[in-house]
Amino acid sequence: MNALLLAGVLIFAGLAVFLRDLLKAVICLLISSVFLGIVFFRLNAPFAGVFEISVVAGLIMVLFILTISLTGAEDTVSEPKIHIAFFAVLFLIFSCVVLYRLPAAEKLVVKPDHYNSFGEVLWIGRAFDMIGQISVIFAGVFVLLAVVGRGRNGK
Amino acid sequence: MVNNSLAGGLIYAYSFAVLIFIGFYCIFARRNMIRILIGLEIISKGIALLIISGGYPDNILVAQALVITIIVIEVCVMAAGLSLVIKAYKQSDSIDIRTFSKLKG
Amino acid sequence: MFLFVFIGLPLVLAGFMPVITRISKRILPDILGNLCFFLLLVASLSIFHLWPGAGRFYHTLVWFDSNLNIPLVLDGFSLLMIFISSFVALSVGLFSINYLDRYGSRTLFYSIMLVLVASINGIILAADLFTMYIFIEAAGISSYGLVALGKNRYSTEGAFKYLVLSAIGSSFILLGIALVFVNTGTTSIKEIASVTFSSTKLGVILFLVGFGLKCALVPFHFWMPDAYAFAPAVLPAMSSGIFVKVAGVYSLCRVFFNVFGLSFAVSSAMIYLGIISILAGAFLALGQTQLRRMLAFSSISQIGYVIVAFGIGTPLGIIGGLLHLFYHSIFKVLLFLNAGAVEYATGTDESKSLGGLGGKMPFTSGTNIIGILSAAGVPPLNGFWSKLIIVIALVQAKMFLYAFIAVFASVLTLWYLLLIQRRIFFGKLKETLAHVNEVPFWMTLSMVGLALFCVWTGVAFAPFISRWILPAAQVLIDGVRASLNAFIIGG
Repeated sequence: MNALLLAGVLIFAGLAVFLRDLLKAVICLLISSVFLGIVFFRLNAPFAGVFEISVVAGLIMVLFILTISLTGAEDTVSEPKIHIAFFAVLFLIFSCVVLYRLPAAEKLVVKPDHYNSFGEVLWIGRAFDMIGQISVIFAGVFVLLAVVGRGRNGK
Repeated sequence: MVNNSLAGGLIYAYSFAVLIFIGFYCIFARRNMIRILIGLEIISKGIALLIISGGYPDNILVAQALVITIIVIEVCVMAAGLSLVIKAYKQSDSIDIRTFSKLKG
Repeated sequence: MFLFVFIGLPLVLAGFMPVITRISKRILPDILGNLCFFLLLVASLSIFHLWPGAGRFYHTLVWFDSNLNIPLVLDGFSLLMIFISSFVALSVGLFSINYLDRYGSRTLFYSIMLVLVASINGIILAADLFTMYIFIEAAGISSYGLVALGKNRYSTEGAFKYLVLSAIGSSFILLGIALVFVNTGTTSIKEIASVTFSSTKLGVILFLVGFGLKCALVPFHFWMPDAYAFAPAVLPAMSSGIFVKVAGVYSLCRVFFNVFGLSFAVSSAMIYLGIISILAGAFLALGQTQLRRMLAFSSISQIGYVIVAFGIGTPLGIIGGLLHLFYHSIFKVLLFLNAGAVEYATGTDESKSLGGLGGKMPFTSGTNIIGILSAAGVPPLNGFWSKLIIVIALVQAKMFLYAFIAVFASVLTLWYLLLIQRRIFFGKLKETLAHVNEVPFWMTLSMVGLALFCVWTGVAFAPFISRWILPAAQVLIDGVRASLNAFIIGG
C-alpha cells in the first residue's frame, strides 16, 4: 500500500514538472502533497502529515495560485538546456552506487527517543528551534514588506 | 549506510532520490521563474520524506519536529520568492528567466 | 541569561520597530538600532574580559522555574565571531544613518538588519546542527530582503538569482543534516561527535557543496557578483562582511573540525577549491569597471585564501585562516562602504563615468587607500600579517606551488584595486561631477573608524593574536575533542 502511495507522489511530482500549463502543474503538486501527507500518516507521523497537507497543500499552493493569477498563466516554449538524459544517467549511477554499498554498509548507533509525547519534544526538547522559527517568520514578513509595499517614509 | 535504517528499506531511498533528481532537473532546465520555485518545493518534499522514513520506529517524534520546522521555513522562502516574481513581472512584464540574463554571473 | 541577549535583543527590537515608527519616523529608529548594535558590541567585549581563556561552555536558559532547555554554546571561536558580527553591524548601522536618505523605508531596513544580526548570532551560539540550519535560513531570507530594497530592475534580477542559488545551497546542507540524522538519530553536535564516523562520504560531499554555495567558492560563486552589483551598498557590506563568513566559513569549520574531524579527502578538497577561488576571483576582477562588482570578485578571492588556510589543517594554517577571516571583515566592509559613499555622492559607481574625486572627497579617498593597501597585503597594515602567515603555512606544508600562487594573486589584487582607485579618485575631475561634496558626518565617521581599526590591528597585531585568535585556533585544533568536553553553566 505504501508503495502505491509513494508511486502517486512521484508521478504527480513528475507531472508538475513536465506539464505545460502552470495552473495544472500547481494542482498536480497539490495532489502530490496530499499523497505525501497520507504516507506520513501511515509511518506513524500524524503531526507531520497534518502539517504537510494543511500547510503545503494549502498555504503554499494558495500563494502559487495567487502569483499565477497576478502574472498571467502562459508558459513559453521551454526547450531544456540540459537534456533529461543527463539526469537519467546520473540517477542510474546513483542507484548502482547505492546497490553496491548496501551489503557493506555498517549500522551506526541509533538512539531511540526519550520523550513521552510530541508536545514535550517540540516545546522542551527543541525549544531553541521555536526561536529560530520566530526569526524566520520575522524575516519573511519584513522581506515581503520590503519587496511589495511602498516605504512608509515616502520616496 | 542509509538503506539499513530506512523504514521498509530501499523503496523510500529510491523515491527520495527520484524526488531530488526531479527537483534539480526542474530548477536547472526550466525558464519560467515560477517553475523554478516549484522545483525547490519538490526538493523540500524529498528531504521531508527522507527524514520521516529515516526516523521511523524510534525517532519519529524528533523527526516530526524537524519536518514541521522545515515546512515553516519553506513557506517563508516561497513567500519571499513569489513576491520577487510579482515584482519582476511588474517591472518588466515577463517572468522568463532568459530576459534576466543581463548580469552574467 | 546573559548569552541570550545576543539573539533576543535584536529580535524583540525588530518586532517593535513598526510600532516605534508611529512615534517618530526619522530619529528614533536610528538611535534605537545603533544603540542595540553598540550594546551587543559592549556585551561581547565584556564576555571577553570574563573569559577564562579556554573551554567550551554550555549555557542553559532557565525561565520561571521550568527547564526551558535552550542550550547556547560559547567557546573561543564563537567569541571571535560574535565580536566580528557586532563590530560590522555597528559600523554598517552608523553608515546607514545618512545612506538611507536615498532609499526611504528606514524602519524596514533597520528591522531587516536586526533580524539579520539576531540570526547570525543564533548561528554562532547554536549547539545543534539543525538549529544552525534554521538560523542560516533566517539570515538568508533577511539578505534577500536587503537586496530587494534596491530600486531598479537589475536588483530584482540579482535578488532572484541570489534566492534560488542560496536556497539550493541550503537544500544541500539540509540533505547532509538529514543523512546524519538518519544514521545517528540525533542532531546535537555533542552527541554526533561522540559517535565515530568512518565512511560517510556522501554526507561530506553534500556539506561541502552546500557550504560552498553559501560562501561563494568557485564553482559556486555565480550569485555573488549579480547580487552585489546593484543592491544598496549596505547589503554587500553586511553579506560579505558577516553573512558569508558565518553561514559559510564558520559553519564549514564547525562541521568539519568539531563534528566530523578533518580527513585527508576533505582537506584536499578545501585546498583545491580554495586555490581555484583565489585565481578565478583575481582574474575575473581584472576586467571589471564597476566598483561593487569588482569588489565582489575580490571577496571571492579572499574567501579562497581563508578556505585554503583552514584546509591545510596545521596550527599555523588555522591561525592564518582565522586572522585573515577577521581582517577581511574589516577591510572589505570598509571598501564596500567606500563604494556606497561614492554612489551616494555621485549617483553611480561605474568607474567609466567617474574621475578625479580625490580632491572633493578627501576622507573617502584616504580611507579607500588604506582599505586597498590592507586588502593587497602591504605592510604594516593588517592584511600583510594574515597573508604572510598563510604563505608561511603553505610553505611549511611543502606546497610551494600554492604558496607562489597565493603571493602572485596578492600582487594581482594590488594591481586591480589600484587601477580602479586611480580611475575613480585621481585624474581630472569631470565637469558633471563638479558639484559633489564629501559625504555626511556619520558615513565619514564609520569609514574613518574602520580605517583606524585597520591600522591599529596592523601595527599592534601581536597582542591581538595572542588574546583573540589563539583561543579560537585551539578550539579548531582540538577538533572533535573540543565538542565533547564542555562545562555546563546554569541559568
